[in-house]
Order: sequence, then C-alpha cells, then structure tokens
Amino acid sequence: MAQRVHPIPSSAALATFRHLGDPVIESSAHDAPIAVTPSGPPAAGHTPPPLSPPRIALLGNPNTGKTTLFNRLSGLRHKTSNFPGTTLEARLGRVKLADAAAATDPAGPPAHGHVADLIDLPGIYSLDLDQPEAILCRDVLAGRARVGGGAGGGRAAPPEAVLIVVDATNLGRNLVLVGECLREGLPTVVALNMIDLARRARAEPDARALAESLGCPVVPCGARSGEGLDALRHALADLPARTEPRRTIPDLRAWAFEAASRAVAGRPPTTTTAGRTFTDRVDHVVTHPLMGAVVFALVMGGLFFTLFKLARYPMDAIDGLFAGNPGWAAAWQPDWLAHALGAGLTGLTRQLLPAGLLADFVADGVIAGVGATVIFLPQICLLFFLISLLEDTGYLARGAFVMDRLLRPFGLPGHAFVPLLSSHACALPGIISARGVPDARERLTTILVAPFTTCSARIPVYVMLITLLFGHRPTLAALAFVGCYALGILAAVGSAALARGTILRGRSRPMALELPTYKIPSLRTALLTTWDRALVFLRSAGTNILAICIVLWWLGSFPHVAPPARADQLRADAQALVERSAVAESPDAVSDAYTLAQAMNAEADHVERAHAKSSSFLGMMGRAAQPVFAPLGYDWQLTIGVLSSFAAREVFVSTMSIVFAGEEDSSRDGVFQKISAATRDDGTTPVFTPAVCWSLLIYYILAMQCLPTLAVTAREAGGIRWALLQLAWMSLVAYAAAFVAYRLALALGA
Amino acid sequence: MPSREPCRSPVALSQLRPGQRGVVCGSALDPADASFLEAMGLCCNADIRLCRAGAPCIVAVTTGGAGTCRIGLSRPLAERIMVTPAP
Ligand SMILES: Nc1nc2c(ncn2[C@@H]2O[C@H](COP(=O)(O)OP(=O)(O)OP(=O)(O)O)[C@@H](O)[C@H]2O)c(=O)[nH]1
Ligand SMILES: [Mg+2]
Repeated sequence: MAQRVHPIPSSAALATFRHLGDPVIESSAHDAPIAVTPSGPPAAGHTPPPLSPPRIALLGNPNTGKTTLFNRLSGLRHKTSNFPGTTLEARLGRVKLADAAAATDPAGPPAHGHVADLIDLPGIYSLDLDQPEAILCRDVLAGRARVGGGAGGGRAAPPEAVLIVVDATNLGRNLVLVGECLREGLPTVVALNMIDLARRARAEPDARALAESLGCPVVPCGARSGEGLDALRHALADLPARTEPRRTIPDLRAWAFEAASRAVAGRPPTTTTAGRTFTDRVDHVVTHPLMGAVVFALVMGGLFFTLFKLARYPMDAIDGLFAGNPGWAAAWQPDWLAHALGAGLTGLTRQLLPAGLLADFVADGVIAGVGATVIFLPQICLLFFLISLLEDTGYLARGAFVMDRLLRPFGLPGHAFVPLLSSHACALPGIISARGVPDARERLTTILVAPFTTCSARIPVYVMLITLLFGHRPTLAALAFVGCYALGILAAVGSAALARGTILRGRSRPMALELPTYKIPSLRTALLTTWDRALVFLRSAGTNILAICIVLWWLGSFPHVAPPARADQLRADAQALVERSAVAESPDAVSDAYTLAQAMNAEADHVERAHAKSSSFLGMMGRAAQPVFAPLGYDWQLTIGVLSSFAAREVFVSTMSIVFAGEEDSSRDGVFQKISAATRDDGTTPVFTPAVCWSLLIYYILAMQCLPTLAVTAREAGGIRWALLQLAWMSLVAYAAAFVAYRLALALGA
Repeated sequence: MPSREPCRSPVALSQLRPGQRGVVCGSALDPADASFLEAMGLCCNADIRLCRAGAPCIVAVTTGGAGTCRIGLSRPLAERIMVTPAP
C-alpha cells in the first residue's frame, strides 16, 4: 500500500490555526515515502540554539491520558476526551521542571532555566505503522518536523527525550511502544498513568519492579487528579543522556508482556470472570442495531432538550442587560441600580450620550450588534459542557459503531464518524481529523461533506429562527433542533453517497476501534472546556463580529438623506393639531390632541427611518442582490443578513439586530422581540413569516458560509479545486432546498 | 499476522459465543488491517474473550499481567480472524 502523508500546510491555513490559538508543528512530510528511521540525523544539520530548553516528546497509545498530562504540566488546555484519537496534531507547551534536581545536574543541558518544551503528539499503537499519526510521530522524533508558532520559534531538531504515557490498566500492550523507543536508543521516561484506576481494580503495578525490567525511570501518576506530577518533574529534570545505547529486544511483545506480568505479580488479575461483565452488558445495549440507535437518539434529544430548557434563563438575563427590563429591575436597590438595570446598556447609552451620531453608533451599532451575539453565550457554553461530559464517559466510541452501520450504505466508513462528530463543534478540527480515515477516497469524501454538519456557529441562527417558529413550546423547539442536526447529517451522507458513486468511486475498508473503558466524566475538564469556549466566543464577538457590526452600521447609516415629504407632512400636521388644541377649552380635548399628535410624530419617525435605511449604502446593496434571493422569500433586509454571513455565518443575528435597530421602541425590546417585530418596507408585512423562517433555517443548515473551512479543505484535500467544488455544491444544495422549503411552507399555509 | 503453529481446530472469531475465550491463531486480512490490529494487541497467540457477537464484534484482549483492552471490530474483520477456542 502506498504511504499516506499529509501535504505541507499552506501558510494561509496555518494562519487559521494560529488564529485558533494553537501552536502548530509543521511536518516536513511530502509526497515521497518517509524512511522509518526515528533516530536518524536531524534535517539540514540544525543545531539547537544554546539557550533553548530541551524538548521532550510525549508518546503513548491512544487515550492513555497524554494530553491530560500535557495540560497539567504546561498549564495549557488542549482537548482531551475518552476516545482514542483525540489529538491529531503535534503541539508545544512549556513545562517547569523541579528546581532542586536541575540544579544538581551539571551534565544537563546548559542554562535552560529548569524548563523544557513538551510536545504533545497523537496516540499511536506502534511507531512502525503506516498511518498519518505514526508518520507525524516519526517525523518529530527524527527532527524532521519544525516547531512553528508559540515560543519554540521554528526549530527542527530531534527531541532530547521521550516521555511515554502508559495506561496502568493495560500495561502489556502499552509497553510495546516503550520497547520500540528503547530499541532506537531514545532517552525514555515512563509515566505510569491512570494509576487510580489500576488501584481501584486492585492491580496497581509495582513501579520499581517495572523500572528495573525496562531499564528506564518509571513514575506512577494520575494525570486527571494531578497525582505524582512532582515526581514526574523531578524525573524529567534528571533527563537521561542524549545518546543512549540502542537495546536489542528480539521479541517486543514477549518482552513487554513479561515486564507487565512481573510488575503486577502477586496481584490478582481483574478479569477472570468468564461470564459477562457490567461493561459487556452496557456495550451490548449501546451497540445493538436497534437499541443502540434508540439510545443514540435519546442521548442527542436529551442533550438539546436540556439546552433549550436551561439556557433560557441566562439568555433572558443577558438580553435584559443589553436591552433593559424595567419590570424585573424594579426590585433592585438602590434606585440608581434599578434605574440602570431597567434601562439596559442601550437605554443608558441613550441617556448618557447626547442624541446624535455617536449615541446612534454606540447603541445601534456596537451594543445592538455585539449584544445580539453575546446573548447566545449560555447556549454555546451549555453545549460544550454537555458534550464534554458525554465524550468523557466513553460512550462515543460505541456510537461510532452504531454509526458505522448507518454510514456504510452511503460509502463512508465508520472512521468517518470521528471527523463528522467533531465537525458538530467546528468543521476545522473535523476536517483535520479526517486524517484518521485510512482510504484516500473515503478521506476526501469525508472532508468534502463534513461542513454540512451543524457546527456551533450555526447555533445562534438556529436558536433565533426556532425561537421565532416555536417560541414557548420547548418540546417542539428541541425536536426542531434535532431535526436541524439530522438534516445536516442527511445532507452530508447523501452528498457522500453521490460522491462515492461518481467522482470518488472505490472499495471501502472495514473498521476496528479500541473501546475505552467507561469513566465517570471529569467535571473539571467540562468546566474548563466550557470556560475556554466561552472566551473564544466572546473574543470573536469582541473582534470580528464587532468590526463587521461597525461596518454594517456605517453602511446602514450613510449617506444621510433628507426626510421624505410624507414625514414632513405628518410632523407639520401634528404641530398644527397641538397648536389648535391650545385654544380649545376642555382638558379632555387637549389630551386627546396630544395623544394623536404623538402617534403622528411616531409614524413620521418610522417613515423617515425606513426611508433612510433603504436609501443607505446597505439598502442599495440589499436591493441590488435581492432578486437572487427573492425566490427564497427574502426581502432586501434579509438579503443583507445572508450576504454578510458569507465569510462567517454567526454574523447573521448581529446583522439582523443592526438592520432592525432603530425600529420604533426598539430600545425597549430584546433581540428576539425586535427581530420578530421587524417589517418589510410597507411597514406591516412581517419580515419573518413562518415560511421565511423555514426557508432561512434550511438555507443556514446547508450553506457553506465559512472561509476558514474552505482554506482547510484546500489544504487537507490537496488542492483549491476541492474547496471550490465544496463551495459550489453546498451553495447549490442550500439554495434549492431553501426554495423547496419556502414553497412547501407557503403551500401548507405556514 | 502469519500463524506460527498449525491451529488445532480454528474457527472464525465471529463464530465464538459471547463470553467464550480463545487464542488467536491466524488471519486472512489485508496487510494494512493486519498490522494495525496486531499493534492494537490482536495478534497471534493473543488471549481473547468474546464480549459481544455480531456486528460490531467486541473482544477483550488480555495483554500481559492483569491488563486488558476492548476492541470493536466490524463483521468483515471478525470473519477473517481465526481463533482456537478455549476448552
Ligand atoms: N481516571 C483517570 N482518567 C484519566 C487519567 N488521565 C487521563 N484520564 C482520562 O482519560 C481520557 C483520555 O485522556 P486524553 O488526555 O485525551 O488522552 P490522550 O492520550 O491524549 O488521547 P489521544 O489524544 O486520543 O491519543 C480522558 O477522559 C481523561 O479524563 C487518570 O490519571 N485517571
Ligand atoms: Mg491527546
């Protein structure tokens, strides 16, 4: 079989990753097969700069807790989950070593300030496998991979040592990899992880005996709880010498199993039960063709029901913070606080700033725009929290087999489940994890269809439209939410079937996957993940979305045009009415006249605003493009929303909030009221009729509205033409489906 | 995964009963699949126990001392792995 290697990342795609905050290691892999010489000479004769700290590569079988340990030691927070194959890229982090040991080690590398650079790597079963993950590990070990981004600064040199993380509950197989490293003469430290689980199973290996058998330091630790980390820092500070003699280990497996047996000698083996264990029983149900599918549906449905039920309260609170909520605020003391809360940020701005361009800019541009996005923070947080808990249970690997059965008929292997699943958070990591799909055609298919699945950036749009459709019926709303996800998946597998039947025809490979032990989810991991995602989300709201809001506000406010004749006429009539009533006798007549005049002035304001908006640059652009979207039921204002989402779909709600800012009484209402009350130019027809909502929803489920995804597709698929194909196909499908949905909804009287 | 010694009465892994133990004695897989499974621990002479029959087939592999790991296999793989059932 031909070697599979991923192409050199383009600088554009790398910029995307840096933007996501991960230092990336550029692999030097190219299309030629790579010689398997992990201890070969460093590429291009690099010598490390004298003051750079030593580098330690983290190796280990998949799912042994490498990233958990890496995070603990470096203080970083990369993704961990109870699923083999979570990490697929090399990442750099700095770890502080134990001071005492480093100080007493005159032979150690010079003056590195008791720190080392740790390289987290994908999990592998063996260095010799012909897999992208193993190739990357070999590249890093051989110094063929260059450290990009982060503090490392583009250095390609073999690491000074390897830290191998082994799972203490599955010692024998894990030690094979240790043997491979020792055989190559790599200075090795072994972290005996998951010691808590081994202890609970009363099969804790004896670290000292193991160290003797292996001939390298062994440190028991529990990466999740943080147990044993100090000892590990000491062991790493006492780095073994750079060149160790190569060992001759004739039969790795026998060697590993013997070392494992000796380490747990005298402890009763855990699995002597011939009958069925608890895990067997659970597995039987969750991988069953029928029951498994039901469990899968229940888990997903429950997830989104909770999402809808629980997120309402914080969302209302955030909405109130921006738009103000006098009823709720009245209870607060002192008065100024109640007043401030009642007015909300929009109201406060209006009160504090003199009326005019600046107040409009802050209230209608910045606060309305950013507020409309920030309101979805609770939903995003809750989603990541719940998914993190779910990932940590170990259920998802079982789900992969359930999906394997479902995906096969569409020409996708079970391996595609992982990429498709991660695409449900974000298509970028999803497409990258398609590296785990062994067959080239299947991998390409997976890359092409992954962006159809619902990423978290679509959530705000879904929530907004589903709330407009099923405001206070959480059960229906949850169903609709699940339906959106289902439609995304359906579009993905349908397109996959089409691709596999036409341009990417070929046979498929059967699936094998290690099933992790069921674990109680880590609350700490879930909370930290949630916190990080919240920050990413807020940062994006504070930068990209803010910038787009400002541009949109400017386009929507200029050029200034004279008020239309009708507005002038209304105002003059109101003025005359008030003047005439001043000479009238009865107080009732005066107050009637005032009420009427007020209404006329409000009408005049509305007419003027509508005129200004539609004569603005934004109005002109919307009008120009509107004929394209008219068959889907969108007016020019919605067209603006759709156009502004081309590069990033999450901008939609903010755009709508800005486009509709300044509608009458808008400063009193929250985002949803404002948007649901928006009208077309005639001032009466609502913009968001149910039929339009359905059409929009379908469009946003299916359309490709994400530039970074196109960049990553071009890189991972190996050509810009694949990205263009993806864009063209998704746009076509989205447009056609939205059209059908709109017509259908109209025909059904929605 | 070439077999080292002739199998006594080998059957396909997919034919074991749930809970039944056996020793892997050979396979007729394509080389890429075989080397991956071997690295996962499912190699010649591996002690296994069938946890779930059918698709997917789930086996627990004993890996020295007290260690085990569970591997899920799709049907085509399970049909091509030969095991000697334990008495
Ligand atoms: N009980 C227990 N669980 C742990 C320990 N270390 C890690 N875990 C859990 O094991 C799972 C896997 O951890 P990861 O850090 O993602 O493993 P990894 O080795 O990076 O996995 P890959 O990137 O897929 O190779 C997670 O659910 C962790 O919470 C530990 O010491 N004890
Ligand atoms: Mg990892």
